[in-house]
Amino acid sequence: MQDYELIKRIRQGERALFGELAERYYDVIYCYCYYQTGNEQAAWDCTQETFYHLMRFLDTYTEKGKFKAYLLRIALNACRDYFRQSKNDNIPYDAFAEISTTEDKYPVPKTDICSSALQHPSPENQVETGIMIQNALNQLPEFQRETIILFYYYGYKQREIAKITGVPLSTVKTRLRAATEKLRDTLFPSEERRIP
Amino acid sequence: MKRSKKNDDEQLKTLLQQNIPPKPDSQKRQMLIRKLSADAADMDYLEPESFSEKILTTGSYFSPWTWLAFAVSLGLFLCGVKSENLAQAYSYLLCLAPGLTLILLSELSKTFGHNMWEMEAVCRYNLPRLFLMRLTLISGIDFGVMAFCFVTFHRAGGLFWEFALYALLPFFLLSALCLLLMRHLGNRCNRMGLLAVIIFAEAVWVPFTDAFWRFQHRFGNDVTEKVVLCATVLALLFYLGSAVALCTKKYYGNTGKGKIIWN
Repeated sequence: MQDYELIKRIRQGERALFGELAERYYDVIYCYCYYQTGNEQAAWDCTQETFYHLMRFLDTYTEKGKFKAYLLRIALNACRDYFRQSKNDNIPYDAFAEISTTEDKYPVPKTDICSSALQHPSPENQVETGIMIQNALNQLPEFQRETIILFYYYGYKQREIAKITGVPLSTVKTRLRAATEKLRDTLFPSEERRIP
Repeated sequence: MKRSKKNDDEQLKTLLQQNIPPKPDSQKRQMLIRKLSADAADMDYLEPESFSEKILTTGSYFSPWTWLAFAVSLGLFLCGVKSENLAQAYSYLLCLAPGLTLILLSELSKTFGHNMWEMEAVCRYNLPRLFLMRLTLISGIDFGVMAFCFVTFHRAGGLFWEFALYALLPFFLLSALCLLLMRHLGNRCNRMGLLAVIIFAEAVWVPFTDAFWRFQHRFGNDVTEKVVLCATVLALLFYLGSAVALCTKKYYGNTGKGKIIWN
């Protein structure tokens, strides 16, 4: 069943189908929230928040064949709320407790582990590399991080990211360029800088 | 060695793909999905409506005074035309345009009064769409009233260009002007201010009608008809353009309070 059909049936009264819709998109939203927050508990909270908002506002959704993007926009807002709440509650900005504890074990690369991971990918060092990448992502400002996630993990084009994040295309380009540079500097510290 | 941007992007993408999030706890996941299904059962969603249903719903919220005002305008006009004095019909026609514009604006300006825009935003109404519905409905009725008046006027011996000059042109121009003012002023829009604009603009229009009569004496009916027809078409386009401008503006971002409404 297509998303639109599912949503239509939910609106028409088959409320139990909402579970099926949630089931279909749970992983997508959970992954986004995890990349954005870097914390399993926070990702779970934001995912839950996203689906409850979807439930509340489902009747305002207009079908344009972009339900996933619509849902990601809600998830993005949920993550923004989470960070705002964290700041208000005086929780340190890097509320990534689980990662922070492993950060000492796997610090942000001072050696070129990432380069070797690219040349010789293996399941053994995948966990280590994953944590390093997540730490590098966590170091990015919130708005740059969401741009990077949508671009590299979800494969959205810059124009689509502009629509999802609600900023002009030029802003997306600037954020993407700055974030990519920062990520490269963090993940490949020993490589020469690219000549523009 | 100089590296290309495409290779850099590919390299970064390949590396980022190695960051695989931990699998979500399946028990927690199932529990959330069950809870969502149960909570969704209590939700009361608005039924999706067709355009005509939306129009009818919008109409049901109009004040009875609006309908009464339409009826009174029509009645007055019919009385004026039946008096067999065409000169008197012109003055009734001149009153018809500001009367209809006033009805249109009175309904539209309710959206801005008493912070209604805020209420509508909170209640998840789409303000531009609401404008579109109201404009479509009232404009439709206005055009109906105008068509009826024209037929009556024509039967009484009036010409089309006379009707356009006294009723259509001032109606389109006045309405377009007021719609643009509403768009520009937003929630600062004041009904009394709009009424003053209408009276002033109508007072300015009366000398113009005399000018057209002089024009008609000099060039004849055919040329005058063509000129008035062209002016009416332009005025109609101006009116439609203003209506589109009003219906496409985003008001939420212009509240000046920096408040962003969810989604």
